[in-house]
Amino acid sequence: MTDVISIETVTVDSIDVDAAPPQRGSSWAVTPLTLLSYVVVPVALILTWDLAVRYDAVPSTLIAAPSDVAARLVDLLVSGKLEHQIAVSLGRLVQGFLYGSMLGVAVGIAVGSFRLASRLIEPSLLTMLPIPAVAWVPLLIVLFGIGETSKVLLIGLGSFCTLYLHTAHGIRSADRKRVEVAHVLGKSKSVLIRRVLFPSALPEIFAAARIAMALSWALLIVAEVIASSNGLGWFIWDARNFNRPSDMIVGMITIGVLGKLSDALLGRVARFATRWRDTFGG
Amino acid sequence: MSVARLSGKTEAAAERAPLVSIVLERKTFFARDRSQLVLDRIEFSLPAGEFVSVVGPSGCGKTTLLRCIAGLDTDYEGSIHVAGRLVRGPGLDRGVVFQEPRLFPWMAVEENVAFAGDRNTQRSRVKELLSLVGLSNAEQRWPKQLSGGMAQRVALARALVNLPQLLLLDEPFGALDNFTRARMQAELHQILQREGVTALLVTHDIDEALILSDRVLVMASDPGRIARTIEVKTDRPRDRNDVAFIALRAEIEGILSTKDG
Repeated sequence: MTDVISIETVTVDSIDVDAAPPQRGSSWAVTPLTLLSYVVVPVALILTWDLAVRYDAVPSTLIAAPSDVAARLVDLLVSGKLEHQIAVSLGRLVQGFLYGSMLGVAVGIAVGSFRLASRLIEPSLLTMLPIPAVAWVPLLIVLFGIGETSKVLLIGLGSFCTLYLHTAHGIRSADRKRVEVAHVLGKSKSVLIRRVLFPSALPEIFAAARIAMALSWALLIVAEVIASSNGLGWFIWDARNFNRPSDMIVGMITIGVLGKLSDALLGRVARFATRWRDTFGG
Repeated sequence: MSVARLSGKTEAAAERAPLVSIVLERKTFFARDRSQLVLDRIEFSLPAGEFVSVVGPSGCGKTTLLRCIAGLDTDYEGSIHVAGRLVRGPGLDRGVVFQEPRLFPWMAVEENVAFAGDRNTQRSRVKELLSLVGLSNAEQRWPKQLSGGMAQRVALARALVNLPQLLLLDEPFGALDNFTRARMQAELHQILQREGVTALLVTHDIDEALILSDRVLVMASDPGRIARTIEVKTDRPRDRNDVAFIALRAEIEGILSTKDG
């Protein structure tokens, strides 16, 4: 009888290295498709818009032509005025999103993991959720005035609801068989939550964070249009009030670009944090 | 470390004091308005160092029996003792390998094994076990990058981290192909010898039970009970085509076909 594990057989199994799915190519490579989606499609849209203004399909006093918008964009960037509005808006967005999301994840974990927590607060939370965040605006203004607090709270509220709901669901969807493994290994509830339940909810948490980010942009602009004297929402509303059609569109494009960047950033963080997943991925 | 353990185990085995004693009077499942007797008077004991298998048709309650010993199911009449202590729930004196590897996909192989231990578990112990199951060069891989056989080796290493006195195996090789299964069976025997672990294997594969065990408990169903206990005395490694082996297989098949009907 041999005492040593037969190394040869073991090695044979270990050669089976390439069970790993093929790696994605670098997403920075310029392919014809990248060119099409980032150059050709936007250019075609801008051309259509330009033609519509040029041939008076829309009144040029109300809608600016692309060339005017481009010139104005450069002006605003050089003078630093646009950067200022961006900084103000991003400050509100990031604060509201982070506070709201973190609280939402924390409450979601508590509700998902502890029956008592869910019994105590879930009925109230689930009654609060159907109220659209925008419907909170009057109350927030009454309570906190039109300052920064009410804006950050509005954004935070939207993020909180989204993250809470999905985190609780993600925790509850954890594989019972894996939870049983932690049980067999005598792990405490705290270890179970940190090392098993929370990681298994991560994909859903990140999907919710991206939805919350999109919602945060919407709520930011709503808050700034309704009651503000700075920020991108105020900027486009002010441009309408004082008939500056170029500014209006510069503001809109800025929001679009920043929204896209924030989503791309979250998407990258999500892909890294859940790189262990064995998914189709598209 | 394992050498010291091994010699300690051998002494214990020499004394033949049962490490595990199972007296399971009744185990009943309740569903709405009716109840079903799943296990009926299961009594046996395992001396330290012995390898015992439980074979039986599917649905005979063998996995339920294993879950009771693991402490995952405590709702039964009777008592189970491991190393003199009454089983009231899961404990680190027992390691469990399930039919599926049940690895945590968000932990690399090494983390999956280390997770089973506690603060005092040494990295060297984790590495030693991974090399014992032949996965030294896969330590940093994600579970998704493992084949079925490799994943089950990780699960075995994980179950051994805490130096359990009893290893419970619930059809651990059931999902593997024939070649991998045969290789894992051979390796399992050597690993358990080295670690000095007593093992209880639940399987529906008669050959597997005969290759690995000192004793085979043949179960019958409705209600689940032990129909016969068969001692396997031939030397290891065992040959499936050996005359004695074939005779034992035929005997077990005979018991299963009559009691199963």
